[in-house]
Amino acid sequence: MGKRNLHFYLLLIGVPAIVLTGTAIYSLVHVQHRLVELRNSLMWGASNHLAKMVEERVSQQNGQLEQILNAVLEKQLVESLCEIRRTNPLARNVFVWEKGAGITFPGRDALSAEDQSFLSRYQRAFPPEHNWTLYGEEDAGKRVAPHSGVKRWVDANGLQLVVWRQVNDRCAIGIEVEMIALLARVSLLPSDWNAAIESVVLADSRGRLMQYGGGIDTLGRGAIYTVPLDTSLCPTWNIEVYSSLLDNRRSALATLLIGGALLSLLLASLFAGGFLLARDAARERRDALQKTAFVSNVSHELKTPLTNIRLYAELLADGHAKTPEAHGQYLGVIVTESERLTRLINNVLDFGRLEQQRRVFHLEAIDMAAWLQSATRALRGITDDAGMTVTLACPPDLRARADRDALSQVFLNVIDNACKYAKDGKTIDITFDTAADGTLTLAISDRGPGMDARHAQRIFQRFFRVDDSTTASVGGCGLGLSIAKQLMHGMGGDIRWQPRDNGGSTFLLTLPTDH
Amino acid sequence: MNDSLRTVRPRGRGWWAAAVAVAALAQAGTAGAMTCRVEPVKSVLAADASETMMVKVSLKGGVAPAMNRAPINLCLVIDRSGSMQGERIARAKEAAIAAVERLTAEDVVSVVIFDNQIDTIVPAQYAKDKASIVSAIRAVQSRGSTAIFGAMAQAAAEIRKNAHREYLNRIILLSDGQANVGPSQPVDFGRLGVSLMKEGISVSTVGVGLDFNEDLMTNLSGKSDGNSYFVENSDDLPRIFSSELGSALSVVARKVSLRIDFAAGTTPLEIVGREGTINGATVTLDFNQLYGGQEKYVLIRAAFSPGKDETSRPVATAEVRYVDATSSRLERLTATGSVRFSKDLERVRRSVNTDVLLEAELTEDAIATEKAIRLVDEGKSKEAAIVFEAQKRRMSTLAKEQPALKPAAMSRASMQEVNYSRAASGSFDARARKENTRDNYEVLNQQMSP
Repeated sequence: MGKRNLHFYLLLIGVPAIVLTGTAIYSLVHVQHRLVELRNSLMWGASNHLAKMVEERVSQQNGQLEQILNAVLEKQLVESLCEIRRTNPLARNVFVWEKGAGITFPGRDALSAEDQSFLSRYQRAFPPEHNWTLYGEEDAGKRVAPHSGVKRWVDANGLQLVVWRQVNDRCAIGIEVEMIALLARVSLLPSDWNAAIESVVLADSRGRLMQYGGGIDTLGRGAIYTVPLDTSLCPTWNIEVYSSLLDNRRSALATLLIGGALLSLLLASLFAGGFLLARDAARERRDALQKTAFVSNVSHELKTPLTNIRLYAELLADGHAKTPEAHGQYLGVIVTESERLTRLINNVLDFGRLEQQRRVFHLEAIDMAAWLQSATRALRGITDDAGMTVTLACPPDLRARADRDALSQVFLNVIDNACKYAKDGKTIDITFDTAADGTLTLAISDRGPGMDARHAQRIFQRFFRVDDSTTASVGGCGLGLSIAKQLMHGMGGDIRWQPRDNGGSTFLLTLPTDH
Repeated sequence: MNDSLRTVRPRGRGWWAAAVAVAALAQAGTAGAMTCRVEPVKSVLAADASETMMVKVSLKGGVAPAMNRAPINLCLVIDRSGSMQGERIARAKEAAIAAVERLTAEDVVSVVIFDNQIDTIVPAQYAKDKASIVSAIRAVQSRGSTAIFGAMAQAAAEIRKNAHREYLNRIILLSDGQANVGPSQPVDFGRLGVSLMKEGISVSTVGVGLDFNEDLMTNLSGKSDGNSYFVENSDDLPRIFSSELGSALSVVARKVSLRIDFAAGTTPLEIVGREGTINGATVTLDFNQLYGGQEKYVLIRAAFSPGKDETSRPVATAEVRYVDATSSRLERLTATGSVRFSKDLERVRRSVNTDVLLEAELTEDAIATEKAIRLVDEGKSKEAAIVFEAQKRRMSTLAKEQPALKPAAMSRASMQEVNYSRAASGSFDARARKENTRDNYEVLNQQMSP
């Protein structure tokens, strides 16, 4: 692949990847933002709802106390009030106020500790001149007489409430509300609240926590929301919401992490996919080129012996062979060329079978010395024609486990190559070596021009032919060594090339020995 | 708490002795469920002299019926904060399970557990499917901080679900810690107790270990007429729960309200050791319940105007209204007490009701001890030591003057001596504080010992 092509592919993959990731991160941030907003508004709504509930509960309890006060009979003020204090859980203290005299009940004598604490609270909250029957509030220019109501004030213990009513224009009665009991009746947590991540708190403006719902600790956390309650009902009271979710810094970091991971993943997968596609495309292209070369090679290889056979056959048919010597020579050529043709076609057929993995190997013990003698003899025609001499150095009793036909085929292909490309070296040396792991190596060396070491692997690939001056003048279809490799693998062995010292090539055939 | 101290408790004495002593002068009221008495410390007063003296008005529960007891509406509130980890939570669960096992299908039970989060693991329900209730309790694990107030609010809400019925309402709170989420002041819990009492809900508290706030616990149980326990060793929990439940199951009267009308010549000045209302000559008090065999009383300091020699006059009439726990009917009961006047001072001296005297003395002693504890809290150990010392002397004097009260008074005197030496040496520690608080509680509330 050219450098320009590579850049083109990188651009083709990288740009959409970056655009996609950018879009994804943008949507993620957007969605996150929307979620936070949604949650915020939900929680805001929920806390406002809670605030309303608390207000309602407080005003409902106050209303009940007001009704109770309204039912008090003027004739039995003290008795009725004492009964209220005795039985009503929300009534902490009761009092009777009279114009000019101030608080007349609880009286000045026989006071319990609670009576005393009430009187001191009352004195701190209301000046002596405080008049419960005075026309107090002005409404649209008219003086309106509040006949009853709720008086609120805040002291060291927080909000205090007194529910009161006028009995007549000289006398008023009231109930001091039991604030702790009121608080105990304010249940905060709605059932659908997620207690594991949110807490809701009823606190006053001094930060005193009064009611608490939820599972997270409020210590060291800031409230997300503070919803103040209606100041005319529960002044200084707030609903505060705490959450472990809406921590903006953490969520930004999370978005960044997710975005980064997404980008890396996307880029990695796009580049990996692109690389695989590009590699496959390059391989397809190379295969197509090799197949074209193969077809043309094979055609050429078929045509050359066929032309010779036809030429000499015609010469014979036309009676050009005048002498018996010429006759024999012509027939010899036809036979040689036919053999060459047969070898070529066998190779192509073998290749087909091997490619489809239809070749079955019949492994047997082979006495290497005997086999080598006969194989060399069988190939004498080729070696003699090339003017090569074969030297053998085979120890006796060396037995390999192999398929006899396959091994002969490999041997033929390697020797044939040597005859084709290393003619000038004149000799082919065959030696043996056995290794400790039970394999034997058959080394077939020539003294030819050798080969560039970078082709060491590729010469065993199908259709590959080293592209240089040596191969240019010699026919071939790039199948011989590929077939040899597959056959050797099929027999549990291997074939490798290595350069020979002082020039030339060595093919090493390894095979398992037979014990 | 040593055993000699136990003997001073009201339950251990024969109240019949007092009954005989005042038989001529007082008329006790008895109904099926209880007996009511009005007893001044002395039944004979010096003639022509004004005097201030304690008057005891007591209620004693009859024998609880073994059958047909009133159903109980029980809420167990269990602390599962981090400090309960290990043995404590295991024993607490065991105790709660044992309590559930004692209930019958008519009883209602709920279980609230809390740390900073409050969970109602068993909403109020009839104790029928005990297996599922028990498995919910077993699943409790310790964690977090201590939201006692929120848990109490939740428990009260569970009790209220059945509040309209004729149940005996009871919350048992078990905690080993300080309330650190929400309101945490003992006085706030006292107010909560007062409020719950008005709803007929009693809270019994069980403090475990040495870290819990005993003031908070005793305030809550005291003001709601429940019991208070201090358990240093969690092994005692099952026994405490069993006793608490046993007493709750033996209730003979509920919603007990007592009204005491003092007769002319006698003016109530102060209710000693209990909270009640004095309105003129009338004193009113409420109790949530009275247990079988238990005596509850109120001591009122009253001023007696002079009387002529050899005359007698009524002191007060007590009227009790209550719901009979068995029949669920509203009952009424009255009793009166009277005094004689005499110039014979020996007769006056002999008329002392030693039981009432002892109760009055022990109550005053408990109040003085509470005051001394507050002094220790404020860092005034020396002043506290002086109070303890004075109480020791007072008890010793009582022992000398009243031979009949010697064992009880001496035992109390020795206890105060221990307190004195602790306060004087600055070693009045959390355990001493808790033990004294518990003893005071048992005296002031006439709690029956587990």
